[in-house]
Amino acid sequence: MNDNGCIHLSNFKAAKGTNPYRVLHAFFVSCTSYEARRYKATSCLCFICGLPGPRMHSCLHCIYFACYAGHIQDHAKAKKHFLYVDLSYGNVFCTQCQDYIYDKECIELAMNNRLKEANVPFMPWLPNTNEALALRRLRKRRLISPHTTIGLRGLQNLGSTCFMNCIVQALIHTPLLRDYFLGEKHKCRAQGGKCLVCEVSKLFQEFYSGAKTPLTLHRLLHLIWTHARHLAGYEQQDAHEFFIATLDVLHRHCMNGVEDTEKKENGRCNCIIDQIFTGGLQSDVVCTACSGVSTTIDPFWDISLDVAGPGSLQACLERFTRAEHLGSGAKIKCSKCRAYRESTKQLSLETLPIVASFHLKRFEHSSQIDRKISAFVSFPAELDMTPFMSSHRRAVDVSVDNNNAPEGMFEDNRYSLFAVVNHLGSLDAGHYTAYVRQMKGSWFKCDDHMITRASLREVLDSEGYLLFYHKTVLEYECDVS
Amino acid sequence: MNKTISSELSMSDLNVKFFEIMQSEANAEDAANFIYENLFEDVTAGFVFEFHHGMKTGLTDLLEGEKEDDDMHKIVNSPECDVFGFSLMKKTPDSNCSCPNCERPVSATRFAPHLEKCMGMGRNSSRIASRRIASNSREPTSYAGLLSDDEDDADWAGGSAPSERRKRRLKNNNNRKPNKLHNGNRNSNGGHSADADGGATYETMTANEKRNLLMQICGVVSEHTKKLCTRSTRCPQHTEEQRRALRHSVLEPSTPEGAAEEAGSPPDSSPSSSCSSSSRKRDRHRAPPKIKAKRERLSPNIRE
Repeated sequence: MNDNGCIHLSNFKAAKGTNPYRVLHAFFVSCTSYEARRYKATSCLCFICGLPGPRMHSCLHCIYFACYAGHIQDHAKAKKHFLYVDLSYGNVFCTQCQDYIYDKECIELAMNNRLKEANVPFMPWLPNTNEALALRRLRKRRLISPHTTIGLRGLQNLGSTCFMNCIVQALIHTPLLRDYFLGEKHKCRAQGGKCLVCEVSKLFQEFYSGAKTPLTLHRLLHLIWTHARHLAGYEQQDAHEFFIATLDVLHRHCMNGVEDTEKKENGRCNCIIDQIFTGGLQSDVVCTACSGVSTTIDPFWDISLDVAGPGSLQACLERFTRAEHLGSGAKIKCSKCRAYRESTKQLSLETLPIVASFHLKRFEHSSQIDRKISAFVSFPAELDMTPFMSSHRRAVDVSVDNNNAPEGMFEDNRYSLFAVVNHLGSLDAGHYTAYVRQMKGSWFKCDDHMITRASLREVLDSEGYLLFYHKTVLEYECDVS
Repeated sequence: MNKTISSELSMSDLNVKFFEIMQSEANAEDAANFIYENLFEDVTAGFVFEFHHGMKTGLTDLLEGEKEDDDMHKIVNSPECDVFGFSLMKKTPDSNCSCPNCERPVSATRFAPHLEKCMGMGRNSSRIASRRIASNSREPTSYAGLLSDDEDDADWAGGSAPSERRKRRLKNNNNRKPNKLHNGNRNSNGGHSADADGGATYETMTANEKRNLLMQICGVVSEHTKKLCTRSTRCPQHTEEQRRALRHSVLEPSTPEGAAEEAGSPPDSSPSSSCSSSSRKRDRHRAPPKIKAKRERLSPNIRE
């Protein structure tokens, strides 16, 4: 990569060092202090025409502001100063080369200043020396397109292990998880193949290797059974149970590579699993006597929904978040009344995870009968979660009284379906398959080792046992303080 | 600072007169346009700079490289084949894999049942084991209820499910021959690859293995069955005294006690079974997803 600036900048640095650039950048480009911001707002005007543009620059030799509409060129001619810093992005313009030039040292200084300016600035990825070498040596780039099998892989059935295969397919096709693993973000200190996250990381490499033969997930199964002993044997495996146990083990193993000090942020785990899958479920218990509200928020990885009755996912969610009267048999001690009272309970979603997983409770075990409920439940390709949010409920309650517009109406809570796990057959003799979205509009059916094309219609018409939705728009994390 | 800046208003003037100036619609529109143009210019410049930087430094070329020839990976569009071109009719090609637990080659299609036995786990095997211990024991059975997995299980299963499973368990209990269950020993033996079933006597273990095992299980040898007790180290069926005595005799190098002739320990002698119930509970408390208290656990049987 050619990021060594130009001979003119090199000569300048040899004479004066990088300090002039650093100070100029800190003051007039990145504004690392209040004072600097004030300066930039009031005095960054062209010294010749007095206007704030177009494209303000400052002379690197002397602090002299000039616009690109001829006035830096005038200054260059008059003073023989050839280097100018663009005040928006901090790039260096050389009037002798007649071009912007990029110098590694300057870029690093600029990045440091930007870090001081904002806590989490956006930084485009730049390859370091080793990575640049590797990129130069290996010129071939593998592109993922809807016409190739890259990213798809069949999974060998290890003897009734379709419950595992379908969950692995869903996880591998989780967009944000894929970005994390293909970006090799997991740094591990555990040794000797004991870490499930490392195993999943290898799995991603296998899926994108271009190989076509089915994979055998024996190491994965062993790791999960070792670390989630309660799963205890394959005979009674339920894909949902396996999914939750897998997330739990992954979550625990994510901590292998992390320093103790950075583990918790605001008392909340920030491992990749929690970042993607954890949401907050709010439960409001209202005392019928005093109307006192007791609110608790619990983390969740998925939402289990009753399927008897409603015919759509939205209807299931509507019922899930409906206020429920807890009868006289379930009195709860009200902290205000200091007595056991009847109350109503209502669930709502306080925070949404990036991946919303829904579990349709199709398997019913009771003392009388074990049965599978095959009732059709429609689910959409695009889902808006706004109506089930705690903030929305609050807003609706308020707007009834005040006729105000609901708060939080600018939140974007849209989700897109990306994986569906289906259970085929009866309770005793069943089989799991998964539909996964490889890219937008490109669906595949994963039946153990067999991967076949599928249409969105086919996916939406399937029975549905586990439904996986990905947030459509990802927001930047920011501290509101 | 240079005095040639031709600003009509000083900063403090602007602060004082801001609202007055903005009263005029024309001024407000000018200001809005000014801000918009500035933003637009900045954003555009950002794109242009990124592109220019990529081209000038060679980064774009470096990242884009050359497109790999993807003829090899084209999806096969045929009703008889899957996307890789494998026939849908053909049976699963079998292969061998090496068991991570016992390191022996196992047919991939039979790996899961193998692993279940190899690890000495399984809901059934652990329950069968605790049941067997309970029924084999001459000690007062009033403790059995406390120890049984079932109680915890009922809790774990939401209190509603067990009837069907209990039947199955009983059935399995009758069907399975004890020596078949001994496969589970391999784990507790700490990787004894000796194929012999039922080798888990203190005699066949190294001092280390004995110590490890006794850290996790009660280990008292039943007079009646000559088997090791595989419950937790605080198992109420044996006294602390008994445990101390056993550890003394077993871990003392000079007096190796021939604990049992050929008696293998029950299938769940692997340490896990004795602590599985507690770890299960812990997991459940930790795992966020159990949302509704009243939620039933739903698990279908999966068989192909």
